[in-house]
Amino acid sequence: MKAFVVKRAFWFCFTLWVVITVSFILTRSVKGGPFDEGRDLPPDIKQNLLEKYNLDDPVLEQYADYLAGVVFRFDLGPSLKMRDYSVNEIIAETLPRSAFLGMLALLVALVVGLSAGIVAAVRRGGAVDGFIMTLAALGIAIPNFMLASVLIILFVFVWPLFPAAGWGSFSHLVLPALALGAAFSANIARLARSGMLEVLQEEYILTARARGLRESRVILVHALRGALLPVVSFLGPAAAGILTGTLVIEKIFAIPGMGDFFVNAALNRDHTLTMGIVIVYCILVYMINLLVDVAYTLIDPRVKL
Amino acid sequence: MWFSDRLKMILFCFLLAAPGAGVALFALGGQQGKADFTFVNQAEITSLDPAIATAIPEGRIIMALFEGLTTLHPRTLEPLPGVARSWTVSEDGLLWTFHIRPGLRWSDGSRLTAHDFVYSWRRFLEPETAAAYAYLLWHVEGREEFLAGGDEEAKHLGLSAPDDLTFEVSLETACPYFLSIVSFYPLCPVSRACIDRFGSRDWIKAENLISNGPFRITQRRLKDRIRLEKNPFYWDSRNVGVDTIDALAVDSPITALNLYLTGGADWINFVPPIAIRALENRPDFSVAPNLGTNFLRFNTTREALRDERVRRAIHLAIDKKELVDGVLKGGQIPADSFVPPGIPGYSPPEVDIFDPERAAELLAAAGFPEGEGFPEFSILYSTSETNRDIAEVIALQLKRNLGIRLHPASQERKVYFLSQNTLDYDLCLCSWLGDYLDASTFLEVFTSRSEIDNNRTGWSNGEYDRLLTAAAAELNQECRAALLTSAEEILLREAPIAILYFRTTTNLFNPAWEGYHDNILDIHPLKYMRRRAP
Repeated sequence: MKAFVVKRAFWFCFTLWVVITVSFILTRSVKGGPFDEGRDLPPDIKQNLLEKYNLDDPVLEQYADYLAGVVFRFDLGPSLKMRDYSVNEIIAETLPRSAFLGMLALLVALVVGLSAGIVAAVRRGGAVDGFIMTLAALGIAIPNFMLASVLIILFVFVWPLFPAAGWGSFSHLVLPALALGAAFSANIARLARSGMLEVLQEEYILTARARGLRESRVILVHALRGALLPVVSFLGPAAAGILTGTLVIEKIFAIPGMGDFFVNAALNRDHTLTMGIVIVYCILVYMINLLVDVAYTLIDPRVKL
Repeated sequence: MWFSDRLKMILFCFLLAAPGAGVALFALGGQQGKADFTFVNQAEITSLDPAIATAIPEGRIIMALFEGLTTLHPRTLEPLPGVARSWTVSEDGLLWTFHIRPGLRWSDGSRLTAHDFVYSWRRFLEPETAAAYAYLLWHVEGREEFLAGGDEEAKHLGLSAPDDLTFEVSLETACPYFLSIVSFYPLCPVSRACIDRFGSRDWIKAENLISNGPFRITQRRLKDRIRLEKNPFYWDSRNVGVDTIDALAVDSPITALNLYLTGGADWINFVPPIAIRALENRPDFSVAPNLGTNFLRFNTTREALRDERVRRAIHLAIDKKELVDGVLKGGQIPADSFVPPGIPGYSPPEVDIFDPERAAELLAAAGFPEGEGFPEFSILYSTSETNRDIAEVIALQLKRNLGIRLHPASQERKVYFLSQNTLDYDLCLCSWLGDYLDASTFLEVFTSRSEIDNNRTGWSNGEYDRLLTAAAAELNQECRAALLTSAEEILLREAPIAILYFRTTTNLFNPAWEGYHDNILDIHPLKYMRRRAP
């Protein structure tokens, strides 16, 4: 256990350093700078701006300053574009919203996906199975922005149940969470179904049935545990996918999250914001994978850390 | 092991759920009820600091929070008294005296005086502020010495407050359109007390900001909304027609339209082109000409583009009407001048805009009969679907009318600006938006004498520069307009650019409200918005 923690901590720091370094090199080597605009700035004003943000220092010095700021002060610097905010402030304000939406989407994906998968496995070969699996195939194939548009037409215009866009109440979150979670629930349904089918062949299930347990108990307690394994291993990449996938959904539903900044910061050459978000994503993905590993040991006693 | 498996599972789930609940509370917290009036203010604004902001969405909020010496009439755009109740100018046009309204207060109740303007305008010019629009005040006497630094010289900056209610501005050279500049939002006053207390970065936070306009800010949620509330200390608060306003940050035009159509917004300022056909007959829809022109820049340092006959040929071979009706479909107007119509006292020169036969003759005369031997240039544009369509249609028209082959080439926005700046392009699709109601806001772009290089064509003309310098000093409006018209004639004759069309804005405004008027500056002060009497 101790060795596991030390090893993980080391790789975490190393990965983070590599990510910071590579993204620093990438942001500085693209063409065009943060202050290249359609309207030229007077040379002295441009110079002032570069000085203000230390962009006129030698690149190595900028790199060292940045690294020192991140490591010693947890300071990701000022945003070059959102001039009233620091990167820390932007992330602190917008990340919880994206994270909340992501968690809801994951919840939708799990609840819908698992139940559909289990039902399909239990009724395998039947019409219900066929229907669920067709739906799942569609769910994987249809991109989330397309689904979002369909949901908007249906539940905002035809049958006005939910607000068109925005943030502020739970009802604002229903459509985005559905649109974002749908593809993942389809994947989870397929994984849960195949995991379940495999487990249902196992001898311990036969034993459970032979002991006269109720079918619902056999399925939901004994078989489900085994069926969860492939689903759990999928949750790592799924959570990462949902996190980075929020940007399209955030745009469509005008959700004030972090996803949209991820793209726009890079387009605006807002180097500090771009790197800050990359660092946050890196930490999040790492943490999620760690959680998945821990969850493994809880579900399958054979797995040891 | 101390824990049973089940307990471990419960603990693990709790570990997941606790931060989840925390995040939920934080993410959804701080809600307020619906505002009286809600509008979509396009993308998240970059700053609320009048000295730093540069774009229209920023301007809308800043003009609601702050008020300058003068304001503009929402329909006619005539300067109206703002903080200044009257003003005079000396006969030589060099000394402007503004008489401040007595009894003005900031939103915290403290007094606002002429000294606040001295402070604010000096701050605007200070290099540390790095104001992008600082050049608006380059006419002010002693500006160069001020920038060079040193406290002694700084005293000579031509801004002074002889008493609390008088603000004097001495200019080095006369500036006939000075009043238009004065009403522009970067020159709004900022509170010294607020900046001194909270520091140059935190004073602008919603919880700290002190302003002097019709509204004050009560909430700013990044990428979501800015909540404005009527400022009881504003001198004209009796005539402010709305108590609370939400300015939404929504950058997708389709989402904005969905919000408007479902009652989530009372005004949107950009209707997606794809929806215009379906909406154009609605009474709440309007298309308004804008103070903006789209055009092609020529890189005149390219051998083949050095000849003005070639550039004019390309200009005459582009069918602007086809572009506007076939591609843009947003009510844009084919341009017959660079300066858009609607600037009081200025009449642009008249030129032919489409004459393919004459174009072919010009190109032949320049040594490329039927396009033979003409280099395969590219038309650079900033990546977007509309720009791509425009570039492709232009390439087709030039092939059809001149027999020359051009390739549309897209570049990501920042790279595109860099390519223009470094003259690393052949032809490129560009646009220019005017800041104030004077032709010089357009014509200055193509001078070759300015410190600010917006020209980006490699073209220069001594006579053009001379005319603009002369116009800047000319106090007689008619003579001045004549000088500017002659300059524009040179620009259109030598054609370092090919003008394409005048820009428009498309609006949907809730008929239950009034106070919105189309105007070319696209300025719609929120102060005038009010619910229509039933």
